[in-house]
Amino acid sequence: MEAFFESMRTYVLSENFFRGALITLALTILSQTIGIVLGLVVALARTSRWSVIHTVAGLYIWFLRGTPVLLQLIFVYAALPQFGVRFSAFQSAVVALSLNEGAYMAEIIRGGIDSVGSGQRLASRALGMKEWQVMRYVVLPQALRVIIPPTGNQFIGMLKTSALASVISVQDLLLTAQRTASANFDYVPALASAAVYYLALTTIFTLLQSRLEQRLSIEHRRRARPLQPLVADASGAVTP
Amino acid sequence: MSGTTAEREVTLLAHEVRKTYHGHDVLDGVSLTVQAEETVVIIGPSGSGKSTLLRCIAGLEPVDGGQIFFLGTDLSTVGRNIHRYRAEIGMVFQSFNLFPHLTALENITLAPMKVRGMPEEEARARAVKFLEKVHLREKIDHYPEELSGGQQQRVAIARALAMDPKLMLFDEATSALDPETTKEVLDVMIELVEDGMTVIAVTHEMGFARRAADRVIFMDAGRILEEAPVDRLFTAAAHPRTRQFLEQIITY
Repeated sequence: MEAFFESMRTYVLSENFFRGALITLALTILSQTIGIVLGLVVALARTSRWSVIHTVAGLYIWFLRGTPVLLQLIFVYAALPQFGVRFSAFQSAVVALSLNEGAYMAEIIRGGIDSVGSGQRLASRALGMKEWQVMRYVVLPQALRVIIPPTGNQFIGMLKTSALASVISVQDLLLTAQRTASANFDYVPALASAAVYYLALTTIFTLLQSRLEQRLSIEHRRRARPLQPLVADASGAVTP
Repeated sequence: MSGTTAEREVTLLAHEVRKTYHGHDVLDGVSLTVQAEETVVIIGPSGSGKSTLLRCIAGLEPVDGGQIFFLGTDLSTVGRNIHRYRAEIGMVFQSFNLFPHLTALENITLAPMKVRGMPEEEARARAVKFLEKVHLREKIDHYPEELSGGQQQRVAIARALAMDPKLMLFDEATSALDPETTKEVLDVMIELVEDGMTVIAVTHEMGFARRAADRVIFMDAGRILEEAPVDRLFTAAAHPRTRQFLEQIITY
């Protein structure tokens, strides 16, 4: 038992595991961020009146949600080079995970956009706003409240999904653990050490997420502040 | 209110306007002329096409036939510049449609700043002026959810006025309000009329029609059945359908 904790301590504090954790973190943040941007573009394309754009966006979502992300990962890494498109293992992972995430984020963002009542758009148009202004200043700011909570969940999901990148030889946490384990015939402490890192990262992300959601609800409460007392000045005019 | 003085500028001219939804004629050839500073009230049963007519005039719904001219501009020729056309006409909705993520002030300054490119300072100063006009200066930093229905509707009126519209359209602006707050909003509307605003209002508030309207139009099944000065409509409506409808809204 003591030997187990000793090797776990060694692994957790080792440079290899730390580097693996950094790669997992970088992969997660990059892929999720690009995924959000892609999702926004695809969601906006879905609202387009141009049927070609609308259809292409629909096909994108259909294809990427309908096939395993592992297949997409291997496809980008192993099949694209046959068409002359060559990425490093890490780049391939970012490309595949972002493309996949984009499809899910598109659905989340579209849900947010749909949650904003049509009266908001009507009133904005009546004021003379162009369609992009309606989206930018009226619809998206309101959609954000619906979009943010599930996006936090996607971030945490990505942290774990990124482990699939180990299959295409990205030196992330999981691959580091696997290699350490098979080199020393020592599976349990090596995998447990990776689990410790994953748990630490997901815990931090969860805390950040609840902080953000708390901030949003404080913002909400601040708005519902009590009315300021009115003060009448000498002239009888009432000022707040 | 306009007198019977000589000819005025024509603000709005609608000619044989048609609008069809799913094979059903919502507007079946509506013609209407509104002169500058005139106030026209439109009444009629639900589904008679009143709201659709306002939306077509506002450039929010494409028409399927006929023509609409606003200050000499043919709506059918504006094409991609439809947002410029819409910016000149103020519209107030039954459901207020204030932007819930913005304060009263921001609701009013948004369009002048983004649509007209007005500097923030100027937009704010004007917003304060319009809030004073609707008697809500003290609610400047409040969000819509902190305001009563009547207050929200008055902010919505200030928001429309901030674009300096040449025509104001009210689409059942008080239908969602209780009697007390209805009065607040009607008072503001009457003040606008007295200031010389050109107004088309869909409303069943006959008190407003009596005090402010130059003409009342009765619509039924997508057509204008009758058009008359308020008193004549009440005392001597030509069409039996009009009399029947007026009896209903006056009884209850």
